[in-house]
Amino acid sequence: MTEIEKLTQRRSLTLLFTASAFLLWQGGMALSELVDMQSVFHKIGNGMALVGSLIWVAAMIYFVRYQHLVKKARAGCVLDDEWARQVRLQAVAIGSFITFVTIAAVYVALSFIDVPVRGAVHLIFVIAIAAPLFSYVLIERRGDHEKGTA
Amino acid sequence: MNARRVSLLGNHLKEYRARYSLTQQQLAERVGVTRKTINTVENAVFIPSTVLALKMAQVLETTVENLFFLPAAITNDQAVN
Repeated sequence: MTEIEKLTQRRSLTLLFTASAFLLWQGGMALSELVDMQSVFHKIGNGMALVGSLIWVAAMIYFVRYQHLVKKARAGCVLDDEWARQVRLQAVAIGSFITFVTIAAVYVALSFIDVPVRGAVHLIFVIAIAAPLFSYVLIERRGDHEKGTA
Repeated sequence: MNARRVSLLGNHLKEYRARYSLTQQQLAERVGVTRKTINTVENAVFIPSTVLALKMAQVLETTVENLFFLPAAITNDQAVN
């Protein structure tokens, strides 16, 4: 496996790690804002946020390490090639769609149930960031059909 | 990426790579992209830019027209229109 191939795989892993950590950290915070303070879900949300914040720190260290490796290999241009840009555009489009659906769902929910606005906005914010990141990893993996040989 | 795109552009990339005994990775290195890009172009998942098509044709010592082609269905549609 070449250096570029390793870095491509590491990029997917870094994105997955970062997005998961962010979802756990901020998702936990959003959950504790959405439910009653006496509820068991409030405690679960706080626990998720605490664990998530620690994993987020680890994910940031992993991300900085990845950036350093890309710089060292001078592979920035090769990694950000046409296919990567295409995947990024699609990921942003899918992420925007998911965010739009979430906004619509929250808007409808606000008409029927008493949802704390701060928690609802926080949830939209979390999904708006996490959805494109997960989409990127999924699209990139789906596009890889077969290993090339001579 | 989607079914519509898959049918838009065919290619003989695999045959030309075989002719020069090049792996996807080797071709990718020569044109300055990742192996995934070559893989997705070869599998008609992704349509490359003109610049990338020209670079690939240059490395494989052929023309873009020899490397890429419009599938018969599309050519026929255009003839009807």
